[in-house]
Amino acid sequence: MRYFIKSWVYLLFFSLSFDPLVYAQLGPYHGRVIDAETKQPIIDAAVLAIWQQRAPAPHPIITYHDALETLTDLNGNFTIPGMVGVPTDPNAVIDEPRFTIFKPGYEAVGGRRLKPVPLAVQEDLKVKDNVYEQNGIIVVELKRLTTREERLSNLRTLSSFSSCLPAEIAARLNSPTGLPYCIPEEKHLNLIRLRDIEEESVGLTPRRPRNGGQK
Amino acid sequence: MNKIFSAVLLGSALSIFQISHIYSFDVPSHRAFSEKAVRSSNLDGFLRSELNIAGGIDQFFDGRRVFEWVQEGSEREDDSGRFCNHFHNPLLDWNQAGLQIAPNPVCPTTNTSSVLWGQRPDLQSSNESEQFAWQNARQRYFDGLTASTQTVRDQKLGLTFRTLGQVIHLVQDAAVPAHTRNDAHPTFIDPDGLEGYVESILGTSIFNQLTSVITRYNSSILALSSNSLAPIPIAKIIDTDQPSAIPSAGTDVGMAEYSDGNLVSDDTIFTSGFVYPRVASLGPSFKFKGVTYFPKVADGELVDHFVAQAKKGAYLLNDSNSLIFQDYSAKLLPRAIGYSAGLIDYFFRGRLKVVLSSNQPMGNSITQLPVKVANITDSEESGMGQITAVALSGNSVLAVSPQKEISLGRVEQAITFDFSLTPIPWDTPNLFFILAYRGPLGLEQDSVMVGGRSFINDSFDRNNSAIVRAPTKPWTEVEINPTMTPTAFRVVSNILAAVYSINEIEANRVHGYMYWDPTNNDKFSADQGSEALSIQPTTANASGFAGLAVRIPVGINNPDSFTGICVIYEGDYFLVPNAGGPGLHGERTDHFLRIYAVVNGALRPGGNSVTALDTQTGFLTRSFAPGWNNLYEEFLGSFGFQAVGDPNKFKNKVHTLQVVGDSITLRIIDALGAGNDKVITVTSSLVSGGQPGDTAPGFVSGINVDDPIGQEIDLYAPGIGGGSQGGSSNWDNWVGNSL
Repeated sequence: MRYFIKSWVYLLFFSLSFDPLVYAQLGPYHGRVIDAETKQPIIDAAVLAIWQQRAPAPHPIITYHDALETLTDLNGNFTIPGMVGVPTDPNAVIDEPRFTIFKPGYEAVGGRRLKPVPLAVQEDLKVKDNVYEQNGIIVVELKRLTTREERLSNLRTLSSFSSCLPAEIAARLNSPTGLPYCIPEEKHLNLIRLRDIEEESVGLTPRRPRNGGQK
Repeated sequence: MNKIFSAVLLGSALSIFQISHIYSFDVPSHRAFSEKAVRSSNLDGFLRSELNIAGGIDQFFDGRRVFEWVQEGSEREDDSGRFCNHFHNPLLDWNQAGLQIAPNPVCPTTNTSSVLWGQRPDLQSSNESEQFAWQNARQRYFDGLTASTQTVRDQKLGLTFRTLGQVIHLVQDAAVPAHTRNDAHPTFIDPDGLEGYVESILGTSIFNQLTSVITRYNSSILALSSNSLAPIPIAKIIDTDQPSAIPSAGTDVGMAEYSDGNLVSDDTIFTSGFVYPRVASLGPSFKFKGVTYFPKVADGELVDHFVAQAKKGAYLLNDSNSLIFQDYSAKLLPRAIGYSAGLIDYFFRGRLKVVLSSNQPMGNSITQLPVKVANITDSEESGMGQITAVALSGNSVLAVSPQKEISLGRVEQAITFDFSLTPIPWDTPNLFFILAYRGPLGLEQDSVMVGGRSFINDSFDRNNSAIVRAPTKPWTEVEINPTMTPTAFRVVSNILAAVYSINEIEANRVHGYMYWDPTNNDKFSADQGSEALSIQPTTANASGFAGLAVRIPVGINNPDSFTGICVIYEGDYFLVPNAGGPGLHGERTDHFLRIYAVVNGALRPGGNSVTALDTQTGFLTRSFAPGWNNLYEEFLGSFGFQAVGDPNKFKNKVHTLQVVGDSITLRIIDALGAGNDKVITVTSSLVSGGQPGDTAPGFVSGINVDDPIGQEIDLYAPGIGGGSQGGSSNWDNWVGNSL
């Protein structure tokens, strides 16, 4: 009977259409990035928000929807405007965005939601989340890194999302660009620029000539 | 009714159309797991030591770094439709263990088990480019290793790592009870709470905490008898296919067996079809922050917050405090990552011992490569297969020899590879050979083994050369040319690298010592008791010796063209007993192994005497900017070195040499690991019989090391008629010890 009901639920669900705007109005997001030790603002940190859309299946299908990027100002503040968009798949909804925040020399925030982990979990694990709310503003504390090993490891956490391959490689690998699983380069130029600087400074082979990202 | 039915059908058809156009962007969890799995595996060291890939997992191939390709694969495995085959119920026969689901627009009602999916390319697609099974990874790996062009090599190796990522995705999915308890979990209708929780903590310090320690499977499971449906041993990483009375919380079970038998999913809480976990597994309930929890106190894994009380006597997992999913995550994530790392290590397990034969032709170029080769893979036998030699300059392809048939075993056998079609100049920089074998290995019928070998191509006497292979694991061998002279052998045997991390706070360093102490069970010993008396502090570090630099001893063949290595350690150091200070070594030199700075002759104004070397390392008057990276760069740069690779490979490692007959074994021990062990066992006489005042030849050797851990170390024995460092010094006295 359960099998039968599930079958009908699937069929009925897929036959319905959603109003995606109900799900897509997410944001704006205001926040402040500070040094975890000194509590001083971190200037010119790249802040990237990635929206994904989630479609139903026996296992959820998640695709790239859009991304917005900015740099923190002199006070470490940033604003990412709210996302208003329509999922390309009418059966999908747009997820709350994931944030990547990076400043060379600091521990990166790698693809997380911009809300604190529940306090009960923090208490249970005795681990303090580095994202918290203070006077209505989301505060993100970044720890300064001191060793090359830390910085190298930190760079790897920046790959929490897939950055699109050059078109010629993507085509050869049967993953044409334009299909929404990766983040187009033009959507995160600042992050790329800062990452390349950091990669060079820790001695990694550069992956491309530097190109500047603009605020 | 007809209208309703038509509407349903239309909706279904539309959905099929729409979803078939979606290329899945995998849940970011897989990317995080895979990145940690790569980092936890031995892949980095393997790439450096065996394949001469200097960047290790950060090497750039065909658009991405190695670890990014693995991530890419773990992400793309969820591409359209593939996810239907990511379920495995270990309680069923493997040909029925896949997802069984009600009719729906996306997946068939019966799907392939993930265990089969991972090693049945034929089930994935008839198009090879859409296949990402284990066998595809093997093929692409061998193709990459033996590619004759750089472009193809890079593309194939990149694809290898991506394919591996797709395979480890299956292991990671098996960590989710919904995937092992036939619980489809479509978004909106019936999302899986655990997957949602993990997604919610990604990138947080909580996630890092939960995954800071990983759990690996017991490698013995790979030797269990095969199931003909999926005979490659990686199946066991998901399902050992062994009968079990009650679930095991140990590491002797596959990932699916663990998650299926010990935990539940949202829709399979004590449901029929799954004997375990059961209500009887629960302990007394308790309340916390408004939620009534039940712990699991029996039947395998114990869980503090196992289920919560729901209405009408039912149970749920999605409690308002998220403590249940946190406990589940704490149990499952370390395994998901550890088992994935284990799969990667299994893929790259095959190792060849490669020894260059002594009768190498010495013409202007290499046209024939005579070697001796043997299988040195742990506990797995090889057999009849094909073998190829590839010549590289660094990581660039120079030439590939024709394949040869070989019956490969434990005993070294001679084989000569032909490079006459593309002779390799002697003076090729960073000349490196890779031997790649393809054939049976253990229970895997079509495996790949490799052995890397650098080639000495400088002015040193090639017949008096030795090579130390230093992978990340604490175990390697030094190969010595059988024709090496006794003097050369002694010099090589006396080279030891002690590598520690550096104290970043202490900006300045002095040199230190390690000695072999025959009175202490023939162990290398370290001490810091009277350091202040024996070693002069650096000018800026006169108050203490928390940070020290210990450097490897090498001789200088030509004072103006020497190469060398720095060896650095942190916070502790080795000391010469009864030492009187720099240049005044009161040590018993017959059992003393000294670790010295390598100094460019031009920067060594004091000449070649040991005393001068002691006091003129360049350190005594040099100050360094704080910070490991700066120090390292400056340190190397001050001696004319270029920092290559990751200096942190130096950290926490001690290299020792073991001499047995004509071979020496180098052990690398985690000196700052458990117990902070700094004692290295040496099982045979390293040196003996030497006396102060001996006048043996000095160090006329050099070490050319970019990455001593994870990459070959070339130890150059004395060249015939080479220079000397000053035969009357204590340093040289020690070198002259007879074996």
